[in-house]
Amino acid sequence: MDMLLRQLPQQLVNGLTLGSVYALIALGYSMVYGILQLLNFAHGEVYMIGAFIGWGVFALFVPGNTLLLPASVIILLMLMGAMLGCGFLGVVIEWFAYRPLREAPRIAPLISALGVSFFLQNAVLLTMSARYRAYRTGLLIPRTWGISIFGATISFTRILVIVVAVLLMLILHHLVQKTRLGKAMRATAQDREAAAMMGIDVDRVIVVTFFIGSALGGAAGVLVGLLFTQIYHFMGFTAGLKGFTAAVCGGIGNIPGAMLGGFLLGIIESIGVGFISPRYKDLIVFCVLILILLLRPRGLLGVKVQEKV
Amino acid sequence: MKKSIWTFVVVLLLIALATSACAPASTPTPTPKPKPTPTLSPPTATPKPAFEGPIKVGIMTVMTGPAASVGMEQRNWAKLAVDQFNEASGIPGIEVEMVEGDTEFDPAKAMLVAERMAADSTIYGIAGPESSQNCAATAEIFEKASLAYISPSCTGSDLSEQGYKTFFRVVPRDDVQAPADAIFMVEDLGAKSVYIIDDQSVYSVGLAEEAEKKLKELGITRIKRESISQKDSDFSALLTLVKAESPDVVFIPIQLAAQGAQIAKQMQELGVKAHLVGSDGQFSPSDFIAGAEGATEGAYVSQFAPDVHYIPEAESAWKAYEAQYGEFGAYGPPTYESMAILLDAIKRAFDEDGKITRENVLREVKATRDRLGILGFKVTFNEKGDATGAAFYIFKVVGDHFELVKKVEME
Repeated sequence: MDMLLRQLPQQLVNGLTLGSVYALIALGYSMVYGILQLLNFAHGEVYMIGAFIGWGVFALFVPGNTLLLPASVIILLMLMGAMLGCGFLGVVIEWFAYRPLREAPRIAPLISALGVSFFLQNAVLLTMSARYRAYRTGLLIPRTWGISIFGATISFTRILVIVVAVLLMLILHHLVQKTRLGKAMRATAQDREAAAMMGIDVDRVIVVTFFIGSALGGAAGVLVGLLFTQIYHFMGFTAGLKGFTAAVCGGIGNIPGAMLGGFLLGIIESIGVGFISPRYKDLIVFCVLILILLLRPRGLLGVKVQEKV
Repeated sequence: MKKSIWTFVVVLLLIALATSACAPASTPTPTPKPKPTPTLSPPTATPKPAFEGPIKVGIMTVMTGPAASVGMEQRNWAKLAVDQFNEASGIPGIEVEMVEGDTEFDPAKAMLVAERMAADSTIYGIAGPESSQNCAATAEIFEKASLAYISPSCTGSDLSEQGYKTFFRVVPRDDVQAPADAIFMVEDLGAKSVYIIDDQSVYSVGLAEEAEKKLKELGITRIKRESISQKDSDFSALLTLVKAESPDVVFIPIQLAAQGAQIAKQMQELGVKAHLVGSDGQFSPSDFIAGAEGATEGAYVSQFAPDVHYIPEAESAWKAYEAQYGEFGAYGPPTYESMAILLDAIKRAFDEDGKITRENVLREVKATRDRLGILGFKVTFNEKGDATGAAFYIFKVVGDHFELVKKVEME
């Protein structure tokens, strides 16, 4: 027991980093679902492509072992590149795969999403080959940098991941709650037709939502690349599933819910590994999902949506 | 043309059925099976035509999915062997074709591919499958089809204990690898406590169990064992557990080298001070060394094939490979060896009998004696299909390459 308690701080740190990534991915699911009631299963692949874009930017500015720019600038460029790239990718996916099906039964866009997901996965497989690509994070942030509190080692990379993720979430929160665009998004989420009647350009709102959601996914891809350093074409699958689970736990369609769900999931996963067994990692996570859905079918922060008549 | 043959066969079958149905009831023997096969085969009795092919060989490995990097290397090496064979016009006048089968690292898919290959009567042998689980899944199919298959990388011990006549491999068995690793950890590294991490695959669990058994025999009492999944990329939670145990050695008999590299990095990040020892899955300069950015420096890896860069017989092969496909890890060369042995057998079968059948190819593969290929040892298959002389090699990561520290031969 003593040993278990000793590793608690470290597992919390592990969980917090993992959770911030899950939260970023979950936001993409949740935002799109909130507005279109669509499960965008291609989101995991968007995240994967974000990781690859970040890797490409890195390779561009770090030929061989020398940095052409200061490390902080490179990291910033990686994040921006991935966010812009994924944002546009999200917009293209919406335009290409979902818009034509907007009035179709809900199963159709779902299948379309799966199709996009397979397409992206295989596109990366064919162009980048199936090899693992390594983020050489050590060149940007030495692995030994970090601080120790209560016996927990917090590497600088982890701090960076948490800070960037939280920062992005704060910006998003501000955007949704305090700006005109955010108001339009909330209105569209509440009732698309009514919003359109009030003069809101619903198509534009949807495009912007896809852009933001996908950009967050792309950022998550880069952060995971920096943190776990190995990326490959199939990485979006598990991460997408976890992000989706986090979104559902928190209450899908609800933005603070997605953040809460992400952090919760990450922490439960780490603690579960530490205190129960690594073998049951995913089992523990999905048991928690089932438990939450049993107790609160709409997720932790989900509210009952009024039935449209 | 083909259609008319089929109609003919169907008509024949119908007639056969009708006659058997009309046969007097006094014969209680089960309905005599109609034998349509003789009518199917071309008339071979009349002036013996020269064998015209086509001749196909199969490569079965994982070409998509997370392990595809390893599989594509195997596929490329197999292709190199076939190309070189054709360039030297191994069978005069006939180009050997290579048929590719993607197992997706999934026994269910591997079985489908195996069925397809077995059904193509112009395929005379196979290099592969790549993994122990897929060799186990396809064994029955190849056995029924008398199709010789030479695996370049499956090390599961019991694969050659089932009495299959068509199974061969050019790599040693895990009942050599795991004990060799265990002995190395205890005797060479002086380990008193070992943490074993497997990835839940047949390969990994087998190795983990064998190693655990041997470690216990050697008197090690502090042994812990945990599992990861092949989809994981974050091991910090598990390694936090490992750190609390502070073992002397962390043994990772897992399949994916990228995961091994990640484990090494996170061990460094968390300050886990233990020797890292991996099995053959970790033998990948690009994933385990370059991908780890120095975190694997000083780690040990056991491998069923030597680094062919240092084997004189292999020089022309690896140079040709690097010119065409670029750098490679450890899985490619044994695949070249498998394919070359198969092609040699086909050639001998052709030279001796003037034709090629699965049976005479199987006979010739079995007859392989003291064949010095590119792996640096003379391949002879014993009655189980294991290659005598195959050895395990233990390497240490030094700088950007693996350096040989120990060689353990199979009995």
